[in-house]
Amino acid sequence: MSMLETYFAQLEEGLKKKLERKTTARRKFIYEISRIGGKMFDDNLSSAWTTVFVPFEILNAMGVAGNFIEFVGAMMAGAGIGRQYLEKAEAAGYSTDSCAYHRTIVGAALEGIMPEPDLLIGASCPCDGGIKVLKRIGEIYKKDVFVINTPYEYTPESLDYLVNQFKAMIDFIKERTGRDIDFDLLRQSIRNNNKAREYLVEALELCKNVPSPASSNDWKNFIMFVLLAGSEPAIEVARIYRDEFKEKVGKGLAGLADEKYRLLWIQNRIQFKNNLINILESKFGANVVIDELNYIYWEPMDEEGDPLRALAIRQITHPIIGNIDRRLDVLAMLGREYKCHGAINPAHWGCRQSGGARYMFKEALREVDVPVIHLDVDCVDERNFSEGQIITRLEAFMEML
Amino acid sequence: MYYAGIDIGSLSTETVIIDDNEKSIAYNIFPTGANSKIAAQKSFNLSLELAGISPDNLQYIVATGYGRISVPFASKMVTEITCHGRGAYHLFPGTRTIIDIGGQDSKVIKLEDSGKVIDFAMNDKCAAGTGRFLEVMARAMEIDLEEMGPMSLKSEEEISISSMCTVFAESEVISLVAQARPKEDIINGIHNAICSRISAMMERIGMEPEVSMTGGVAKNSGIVAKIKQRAGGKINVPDEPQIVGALGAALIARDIANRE
Amino acid sequence: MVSKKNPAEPKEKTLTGMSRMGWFCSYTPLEIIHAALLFPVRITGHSDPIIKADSFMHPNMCQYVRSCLDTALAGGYDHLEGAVFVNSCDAMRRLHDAWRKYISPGFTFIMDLPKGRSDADYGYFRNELLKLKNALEKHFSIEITEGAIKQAINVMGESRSLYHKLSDLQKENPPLITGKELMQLASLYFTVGPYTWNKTAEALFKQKNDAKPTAVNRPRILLSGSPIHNPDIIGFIEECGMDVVYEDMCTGSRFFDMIVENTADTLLDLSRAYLDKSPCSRMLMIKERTKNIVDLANEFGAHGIIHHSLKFCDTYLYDVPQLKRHLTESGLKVLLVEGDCTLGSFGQLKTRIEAFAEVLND
Repeated sequence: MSMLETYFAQLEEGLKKKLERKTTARRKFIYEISRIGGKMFDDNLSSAWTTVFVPFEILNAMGVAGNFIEFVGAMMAGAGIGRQYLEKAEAAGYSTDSCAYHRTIVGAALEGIMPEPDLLIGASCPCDGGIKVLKRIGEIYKKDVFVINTPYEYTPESLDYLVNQFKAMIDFIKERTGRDIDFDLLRQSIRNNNKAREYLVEALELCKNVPSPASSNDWKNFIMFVLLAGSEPAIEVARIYRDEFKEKVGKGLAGLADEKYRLLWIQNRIQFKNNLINILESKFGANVVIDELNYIYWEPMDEEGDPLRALAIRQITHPIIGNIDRRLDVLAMLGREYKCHGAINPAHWGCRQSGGARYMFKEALREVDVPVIHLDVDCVDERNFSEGQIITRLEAFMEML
Repeated sequence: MYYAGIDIGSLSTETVIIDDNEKSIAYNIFPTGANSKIAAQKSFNLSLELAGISPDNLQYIVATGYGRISVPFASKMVTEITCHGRGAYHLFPGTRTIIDIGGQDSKVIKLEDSGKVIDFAMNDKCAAGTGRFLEVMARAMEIDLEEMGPMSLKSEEEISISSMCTVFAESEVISLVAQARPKEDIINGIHNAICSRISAMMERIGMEPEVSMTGGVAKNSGIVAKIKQRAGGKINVPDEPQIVGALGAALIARDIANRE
Repeated sequence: MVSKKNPAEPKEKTLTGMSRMGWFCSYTPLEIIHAALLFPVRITGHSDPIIKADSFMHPNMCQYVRSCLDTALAGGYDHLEGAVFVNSCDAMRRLHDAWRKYISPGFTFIMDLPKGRSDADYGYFRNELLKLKNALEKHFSIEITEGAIKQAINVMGESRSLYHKLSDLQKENPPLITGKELMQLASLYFTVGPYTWNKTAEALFKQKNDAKPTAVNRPRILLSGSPIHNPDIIGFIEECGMDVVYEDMCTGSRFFDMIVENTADTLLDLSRAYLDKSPCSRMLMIKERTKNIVDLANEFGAHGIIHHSLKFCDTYLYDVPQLKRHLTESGLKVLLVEGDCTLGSFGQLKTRIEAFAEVLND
């Protein structure tokens, strides 16, 4: 068993035991995610490495277990083992100016600790780096990469273009694995998505309550939910979140006891172990009540029509795609509706699509009286993390609030 | 006939004079200070004095280093990469890889069997991975630079200094000192940090034996020991690692003069 | 924040008073802009320290994008009627957003750009070209005829042949034209337009072709990588002791490296031509890119390659390890440098470039 396989197996085992003692939404979520991680090593499934916004429902309906590379990068940082792979990537010539989510995975692939993927599928959005790194991984394993050109704008033509690419992706998978798509399964996953969506929307609505029933940790890295999308466990996880928060609100229980400040978190959390959340909670009573990326921006999917079309619409309407307007609207809306006192922008090092927009974030949130702090952190590379300096800035910001 | 090589670095300037048999007859190491032109002239004059010759006895002069452009009396300018290559190869003909860690930059140079440079990598943008890093840390720990090598060899515990940036690393070191961690261990950690800065360059170019070290930091026995480990257990270090650039320049001066 | 527009001094005198349309990326269909009777002006940013743009964008975006924003914020592009953007990369995407919000908008349009060459990709890009055409027609109340587009294709085709004729002069040993001169000629194209430029290029060719070579035999290199807009940088490299006998950048040769077919569907012809041309790193076709570089290096007798990547340019940065390996395997000596496309950063690279010249000298 490789180190990574062991890691996921242990994670799954540990959480299973904890769940037997007490079921919490967070535990259930991480448990299901660890099982996804473990699927990478399941010989009955074909494995696909992807970038984050790829339709996993299609993969699952073809017996392909997908994992997005940023997820693995984040896992490694969280487990404290990312550093050696970063160094490996840098020794191979990958610049330290690039995003560490991607550098970690390239280093891991070069080091050979990852199981060889059967398929590589990447999308051009949300960023250039992801698809580039997937190409590099393709060269390491001598495999072609299927590229999904995510259209910039939602028009009838661009939707057709995307749907046709999904069809081409299905052919790509068929050619290489011999697996065909089960459209019944796919349609079921659309229905499952809608069910899960209902619960999630409710759960997120409940967090608008003052105080929020959720603590900063409950929703951490919830972006990983995309891996579960369309599955039965997804519905379960969503329902448990909804139930847990409903109960807490009913009983007047807060996620963070004595919540004084409510914060919006922009883009991704910091993956390696650090004290920021602790300090926010213990010193300032500050709670991250909403993560930008957790917002359910997509309408319920069309269960009667073409499932590929429904999935394409969800992909093409993501706020992070195309121009910045949708994203700014979402941020302002969240800041306002969740009654946030402030917003934290970790401004992940090497992230151009968000780095180029940081003034626009600040401006958009200023319109709703939510001040923003830009932290300039590398969310994945702890070697560059000067905790003292970051904490000082954070504390100054909180004092300002 | 004699030949001279002048290496004007940002911190120190060296002049080496050799004879027709490629033998070094005089050298000096002079602080560059604020004016490289003056430093070059002074270092040059000093070596002439030590050699007991006059400028007329010199057939060719090559200038190298960051300040090579400030030597109006030089016959030619050649980069320090080529000069370090030539100098190290002369001292250790088995050299195929050179690790040069100077005051302000670090380089890895690859040679082919004939001694010709075929590849190189440089870091001159960032203090981490250069002698400057050591200076900053020595100051933070209130010890002399020269003590760092011997002290580090007595280290018993591995300490990791995680920050990439010299400025952040300095505050890390200060807090380690405040925690009363043994200085030997802290210095060893600092040496580890420098080596990891250079390791990316070393891996990119490759550490083909024999590996030779040049530059002022080669006087630090602790760092030499670590690089030796990465080099597979064997490393060449000249008695005077700081003058290799100037020596190479002098040898190149002789090569050119003999061609013409 | 929104700066006033000033009437422009037309530099191109063929048709006086033509409105100027800015553009950035070499995948912008200039043929359509010409056919709209607009004068395309390549936006090149500047090479100086950034003054205002860093308040709007994180400093770890490339110098090109930041300097474009910088110049625009200072009113440097107020004389343009607008700008056509291409979704070439994340940084350009954000530049477009900042442009819409903080610069006097005028006509602002962004085209999407696929990364492939399937029929679906050609069709999709053709539709983007159509959208641009429609948007220009609407904004300027004009009609862009098929004939006008074809005429633009022809005159630009002439420019391309002329450029190649001049570029081929560098195959001689020593080259009959310097890398800097050729780059100056390329840059001229982006400010004077094809009609004037074609005449200038023809005259230059005659002059250079008949002249005796004056340069001494020096190491010959091919320059590749991120766009360098400033010919002085090529000059600087040549002063370090080598001849830049070819550069494969979108600000130079790769801009002129395109063949447009002539079928009944002009927009599809353009779509195919743009997607088929020698690829920028953002197209993900690294094998083809590397092969092109090696073939060109051999064709032009280059001994080595200098690959310059713009700091913070992800598309080029991620290629570097693979590129170096492939190019080295082909037997060519390779120098990888990273800069910010300013002469200042090249000054710092001087030692490396000179050392490379020494390595190349046999």
